[in-house]
Amino acid sequence: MWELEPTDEYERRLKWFARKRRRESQAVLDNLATYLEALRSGAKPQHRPFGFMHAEGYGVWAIDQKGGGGNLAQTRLYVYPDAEKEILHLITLGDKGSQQEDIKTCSNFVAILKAIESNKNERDQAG
Amino acid sequence: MNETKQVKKEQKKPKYRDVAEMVRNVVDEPGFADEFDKRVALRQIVRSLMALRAAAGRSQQDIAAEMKCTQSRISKLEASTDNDLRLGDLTGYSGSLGFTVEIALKPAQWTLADEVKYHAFCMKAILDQMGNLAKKDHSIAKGIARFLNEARYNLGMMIEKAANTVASALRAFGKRNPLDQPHRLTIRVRTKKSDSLFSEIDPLDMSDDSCAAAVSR
Repeated sequence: MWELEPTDEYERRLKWFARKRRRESQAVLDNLATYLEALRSGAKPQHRPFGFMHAEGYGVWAIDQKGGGGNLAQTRLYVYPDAEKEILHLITLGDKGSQQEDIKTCSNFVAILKAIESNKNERDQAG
Repeated sequence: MNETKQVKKEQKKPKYRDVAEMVRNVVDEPGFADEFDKRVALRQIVRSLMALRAAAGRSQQDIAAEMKCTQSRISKLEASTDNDLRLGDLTGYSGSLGFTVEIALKPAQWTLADEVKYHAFCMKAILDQMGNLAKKDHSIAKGIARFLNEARYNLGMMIEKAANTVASALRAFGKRNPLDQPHRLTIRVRTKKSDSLFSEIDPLDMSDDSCAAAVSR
């Protein structure tokens, strides 16, 4: 069953957003709950199922605050679904101002995650 | 710490089963987790519908075409709460995904035991239907017999597992109060050969052989 795995960076940001942008955080987390339920119901991680999501490349999805009410600041939660392990990695949370930096964080995260997996597979095959 | 070590460290962190659990563990802002719980509770049915649509790979436009309405109406429906949902929307939306809606009206004061009894009666009604179906065709009857054999074993195991948990709890209570008498819990499983005879299973004997023997007797 799909589970959530947050990074330290995500947890730091979430604490800040919950304090400073409460409504936006609630809306984004609500959308995250919908996406998690969709994955558990059998939705394919590589397909875009909802309007509050868009692809950022490298298999990363950005979940925004849409549907949470009016006058909300643009807020994005970056996630990476690992279909094999059924883990939804919560990479980071940001706004329009941190977008470029956030996308870079995501690409680094996925590259490292894949490298670790590939090393592990090689070790398993060798051993 | 370099990034690789950081990612490796994060792979060892606890995982969360749902968003509410994660919020409760991560966010320390007063009232935030409670507010989120309430928010989640308001949209359980709508969320399930959206999840089923995503799992079926269908767009809002697809559902709108089936329900003969506009895509914006579906969008509005998905942004609403369960209280705003009309029964017609619920049946129409789920029907377009190949699902039917079942509504159960249950007394608010029902206990868990009442819930189990309710589901048992539902099962009985379906099993009666199966029995009637079996009378019509030999191969269907054979298929149903195979299914029932399997179902009886699985249901027996489920009840036995629950009884085992209760037996452990009773043992633990007994340890805390040495004056308590040792408890013995007995479950009765209807046997294959006769409806009037019951075989007894001792839930403290949880070996597979014991379970299998008890249900196949």
